[in-house]
Amino acid sequence: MPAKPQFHETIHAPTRLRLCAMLRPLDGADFRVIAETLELSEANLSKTVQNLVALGYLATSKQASPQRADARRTTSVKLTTLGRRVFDEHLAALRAMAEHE
Amino acid sequence: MESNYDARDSLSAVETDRERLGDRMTAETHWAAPAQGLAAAVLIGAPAAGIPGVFVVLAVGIMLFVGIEWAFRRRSGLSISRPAGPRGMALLVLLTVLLSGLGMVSFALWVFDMAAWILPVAVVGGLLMALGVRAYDHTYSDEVRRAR
Repeated sequence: MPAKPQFHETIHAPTRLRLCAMLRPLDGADFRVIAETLELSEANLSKTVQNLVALGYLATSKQASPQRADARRTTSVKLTTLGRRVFDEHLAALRAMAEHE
Repeated sequence: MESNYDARDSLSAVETDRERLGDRMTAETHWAAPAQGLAAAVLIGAPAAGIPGVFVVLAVGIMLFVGIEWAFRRRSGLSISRPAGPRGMALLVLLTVLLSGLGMVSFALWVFDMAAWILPVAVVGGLLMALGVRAYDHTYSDEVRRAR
């Protein structure tokens, strides 16, 4: 069922929107891969992720990484059900706006 | 209020990112598709091992599939468990039916004492599965790029 167009200010900032758009077709992605794909600094991405987690749009989990020699763990990020709904509504709103010249 | 120009800019940025994501999704196909073809061939050919060897070979085939999935997630950094669109779903159903069907053919060949034919069936099944997985990955990538 197509999403109802609704503009969400909370998700419209470019980095927030691009992050949600990348995660939408996935179950999740590693923090490092998101930063590489979106060409964002880790600091910028980290702040954006924290803000969207606080809004309930994203969830994070940490796991041990066989790729790291130290004890640090990798972070995986995914959209929540609420995040998916808000993103779909916002994307539909953007498309409606773009079509109405 | 946002202008139409801002909306088009935002949509353009999303499309560019999805192009990159699509590229990343097919970056592992060169090894993952043949590996999954091999795992499928092992599963299809399992009855040739007779009893009780068939259970060991089936376990090896399943472990191969699980190991390939684990390696894909580790190398790509992406977690995917469902098709991105209707064409991907159709291909997934087709591959599942193919694997199950050839598995049953292989079992029937064993039951009717024609075990010599199991190996050719497994080889053909493995090749078809490798080609099918390659097609699935490219379809997934394409459907992510065109996602509405």
